[in-house]
Amino acid sequence: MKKITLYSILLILINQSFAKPIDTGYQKRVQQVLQWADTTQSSNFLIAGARIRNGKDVESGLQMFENALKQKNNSHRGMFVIYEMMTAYLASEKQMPESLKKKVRDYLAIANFYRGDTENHLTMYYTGLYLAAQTFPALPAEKWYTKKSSQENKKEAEGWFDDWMRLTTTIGQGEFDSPTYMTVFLAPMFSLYQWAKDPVIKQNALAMLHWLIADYAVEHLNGVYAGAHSREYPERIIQPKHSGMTSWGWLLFGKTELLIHSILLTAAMSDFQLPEILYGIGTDRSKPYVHTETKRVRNIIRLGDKRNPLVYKYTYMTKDFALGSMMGGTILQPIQQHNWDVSFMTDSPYMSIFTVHPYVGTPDLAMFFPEEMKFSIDEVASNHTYYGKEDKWVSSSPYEQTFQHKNTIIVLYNIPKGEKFGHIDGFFPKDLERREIDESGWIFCQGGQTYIAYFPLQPYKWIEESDCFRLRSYDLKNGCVIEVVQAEEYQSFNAFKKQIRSNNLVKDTFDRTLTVSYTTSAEDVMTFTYDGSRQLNGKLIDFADYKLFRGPFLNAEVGSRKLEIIYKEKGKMVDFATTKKAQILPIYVCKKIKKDFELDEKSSNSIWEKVQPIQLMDAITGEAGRFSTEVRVLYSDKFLYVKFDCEDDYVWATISERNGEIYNEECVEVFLNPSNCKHQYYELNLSPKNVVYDACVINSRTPENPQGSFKPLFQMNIENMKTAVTVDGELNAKGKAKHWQALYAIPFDELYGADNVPPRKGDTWRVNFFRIDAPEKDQQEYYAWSKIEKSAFHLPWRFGYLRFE
Amino acid sequence: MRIKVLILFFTFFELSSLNNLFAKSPTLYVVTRSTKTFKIGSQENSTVGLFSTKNKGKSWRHYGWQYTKCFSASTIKIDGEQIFYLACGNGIQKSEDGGRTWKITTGWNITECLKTVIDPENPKIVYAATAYGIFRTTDGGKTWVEKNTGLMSTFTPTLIIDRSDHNQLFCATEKGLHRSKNNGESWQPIALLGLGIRTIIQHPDNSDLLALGTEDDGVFISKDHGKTWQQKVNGLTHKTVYALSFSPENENTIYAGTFQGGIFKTQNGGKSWQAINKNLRILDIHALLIDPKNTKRVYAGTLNDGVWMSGNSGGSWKFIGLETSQVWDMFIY
Repeated sequence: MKKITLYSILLILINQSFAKPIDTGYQKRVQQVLQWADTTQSSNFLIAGARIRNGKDVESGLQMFENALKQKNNSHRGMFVIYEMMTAYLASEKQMPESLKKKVRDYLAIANFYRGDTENHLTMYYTGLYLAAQTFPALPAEKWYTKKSSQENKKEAEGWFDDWMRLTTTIGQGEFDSPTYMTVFLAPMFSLYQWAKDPVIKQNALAMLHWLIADYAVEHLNGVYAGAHSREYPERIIQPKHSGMTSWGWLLFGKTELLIHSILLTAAMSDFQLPEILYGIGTDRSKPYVHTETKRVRNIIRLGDKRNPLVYKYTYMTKDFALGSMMGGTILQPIQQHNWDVSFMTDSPYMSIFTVHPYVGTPDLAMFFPEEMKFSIDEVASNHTYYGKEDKWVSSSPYEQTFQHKNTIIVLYNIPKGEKFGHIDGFFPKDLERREIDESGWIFCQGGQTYIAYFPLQPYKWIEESDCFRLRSYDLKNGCVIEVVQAEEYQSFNAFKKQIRSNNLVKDTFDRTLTVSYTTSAEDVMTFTYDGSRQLNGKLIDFADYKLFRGPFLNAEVGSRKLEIIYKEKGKMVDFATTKKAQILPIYVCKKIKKDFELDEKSSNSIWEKVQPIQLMDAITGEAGRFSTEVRVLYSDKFLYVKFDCEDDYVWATISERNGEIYNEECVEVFLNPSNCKHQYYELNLSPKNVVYDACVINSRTPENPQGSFKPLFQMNIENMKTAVTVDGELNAKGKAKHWQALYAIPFDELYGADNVPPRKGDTWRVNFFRIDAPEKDQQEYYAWSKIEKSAFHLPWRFGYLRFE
Repeated sequence: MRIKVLILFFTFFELSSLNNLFAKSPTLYVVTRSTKTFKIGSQENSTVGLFSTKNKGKSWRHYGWQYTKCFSASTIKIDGEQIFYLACGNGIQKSEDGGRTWKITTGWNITECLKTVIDPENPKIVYAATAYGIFRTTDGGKTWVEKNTGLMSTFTPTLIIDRSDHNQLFCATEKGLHRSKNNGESWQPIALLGLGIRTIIQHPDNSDLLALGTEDDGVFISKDHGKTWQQKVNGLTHKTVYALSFSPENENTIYAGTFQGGIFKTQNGGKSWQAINKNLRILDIHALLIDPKNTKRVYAGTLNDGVWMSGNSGGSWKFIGLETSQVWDMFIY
């Protein structure tokens, strides 16, 4: 066996540093949240639970918990209270005296927690109900305020989870991308993940956390939840960092000022580990990108033909600003819809520009609330005092439509006569670095390192207010064109203005045709007709092409129940479709090389050093194994190259014949499924003696029947597969080795079933990588890339994804 | 002899009065959805839900949850025990002990329940009209099944069981009146297609006589059991009609409660209407009820001003309770 040279050792060290995890800082911030709970003057269940759990001031935590039980409004705030109460109870259960536990149990008989009526209400409510039923499983019906037994309550909660998760992962959330309300989807899912005992519920909550955090991360910009929102409060629209999600942004990504809210305790008191890829997606703004989504309208109960029409979102993200929009033209949430804005990074709390038509109308409410529609307006206005006002900054107007392409948006309005308010308003922060009204008609602004050009399509006036300049325009047919750039793209602000002035804007027939055409600085021609077509460079935009998620980081098809999350060649597939218990499977993005190479170390080391490794973990627990095992993958037109680097102190093998049972000794394994077939794949194993075991496996197992039989067919030997093994140390000598390396070059033309041979960019195969290490001859330790959860490698639905770049 | 007859007459009269005096007072039940002063999250919100009074509002009794959004209730006595079904935002609540304890009989998938109706011939059958359609139980609320086949709109604010045939139902929807002849198994649109219907009533003694109130088109009356309908809006200045009530004594006398117009009365079968709002403070009326034992006594449930009563057939009104409440439903039992 060849000894590994010093050069190779250095390369290994370089690769190890290359493979070093990103320091997300998440755990440090978690500790800050937990410490805050000990000293804050605020008081609620979550703080009480954390304080008890922390152990420094248990007495005040217990007193706080008891006080929270006595609040008069617990009943009508029931959806918030029940899950916070159970989270706090479970977090502090070890320290909680039996007398207080009994109070909680007895309280369930009289609490009368109101369930609420929105998607976020029911998510919180059923999380709390589930955890309460789980915690007190033997309570009969008469001991519950619902007058249903614990088992009945638990089953009811499970029914809600199934339905909500199904809807969200097929056509999106109804209360989507809300800077205030996303917090109360995340928080109960953290609680459910941490405290649910049923492995299906627990795992599904974890999968939903991945889904929701990814959804947020991709539109997060330094603490701001950017883009269009289904619902938000007006004071938070104009000061985006005042919303609840800013504190989540701080906790998850740390890219904004310290901001702690007690709801973060649901995460801080859990074992959740923030995946690096989500952190990367939430923070890496090194390259601008476009991200589009499909979401759904909240349940329409009347004045509509569909329960949940689809909504199409578009976001353009840079490190300095985000421009985001929804297509508009419909009411998709009552009262608080926010169709578009540009948010830019600045020290001021006022960091966005947008327009709105202040709509007030019974359909807005009647579509979603069952109360008498004519009575609803006054009633809503009593709790949302801004609702009926002409100067409100949020509005569910059906008369606003948008067309966005990257950094440019055209917004059009066609307000019928007779509407309560026939004007549009634009929000321009008062402390913009620049706001220049140009002779050309453009309004040029600068916010932070962002330049914004705004062209109003109709006459307007400025109204100076305490925090903004309000642009008000009274024409019923109205709109604007906005182009946004990073300051660094231009030599100067003047250069930007010059460019914009030169761009072709055709609006002469707008009053008659409601059509505008604008050529962007990048020379894309956008043509938009209200209630008509959107065309980009002459090509029609069809929203039917929109996926559930599409962008450089997230991809999912509508209806698929699967979300691909990728960041820098690594990723996860969150899969709710294949099994009742959601799967979170790894993704590896495999780079292509132009030229094939020999497997000996001299030829290949310089190639491998640039390849991101994946670390195999304990196959059952997913925790780190005793040794490091790294896998790297590359491909060319002819071969799939796989390299294993196995740390080891005892490398041994005795079997010499091909297709011998080397899996009873030590080996590495590649289970390769080019066709994503449910019941067939290749098993390619390699021992430290460079002995090959290769077979095509026919497998009867399914998630419902994981014990089924499988059979290797050895007739499918891959004759031209090349392999190479090197051992750093002695083979078959205990304690005399440090590492062994296994290399494959698998010829594509001997693999069957793939859509394309060789694979094309974007193709995906299923694969799992394994290692069997045997510290003693009859004792084996198993490593896997995609965790298998039990001692069985042959579970094809557990394979990860190999994405060819 | 004449004196003997007179003595007998007055004795009879006094005995009748004494009989009425000791007869069990009917109870007025009122369902309130919210109050004018309700604030989300407040520690001081007023109680809402199901209330009753046996003394014309001098005192009130509350049943069940204090803060649940409730829309209507129905009741029946079985084996001496009063059963209630309460239609709420969070499902159908049932009490089997006169309102002392309550159970949520529905699950996660039934919400925004607006009306419950108990089959008088088989009390285990109950219908619920909701914002998502009709649901039916045949086991007293243990299980509920969706019954929306044939409905052109699943927003169903109310339904009634035909007094002449308990298998036949009339259902109000956003897109007209629907009928089922088979306990809700299937529905057919039968009239006023495209109109939003808010309330339906049937005369207590003449099942051919029906009336309904609409969102924007006033009152419609049918005299042939729903086959044909005539719009009756002469004098009805406000055409959003949330509540209707037939006088049991006179088919031609109908009261209508409207949005912002108060109460209207017809005494000629709808040929003309007059507003009868003397003393009313708020003119948004969501419930109307004529006392069957004393048809001069009429109750009106307002939105945000509680319960009002007239003792003179609507000639004037006085406030009798549940101040600031939004009264959604009332019945006497």
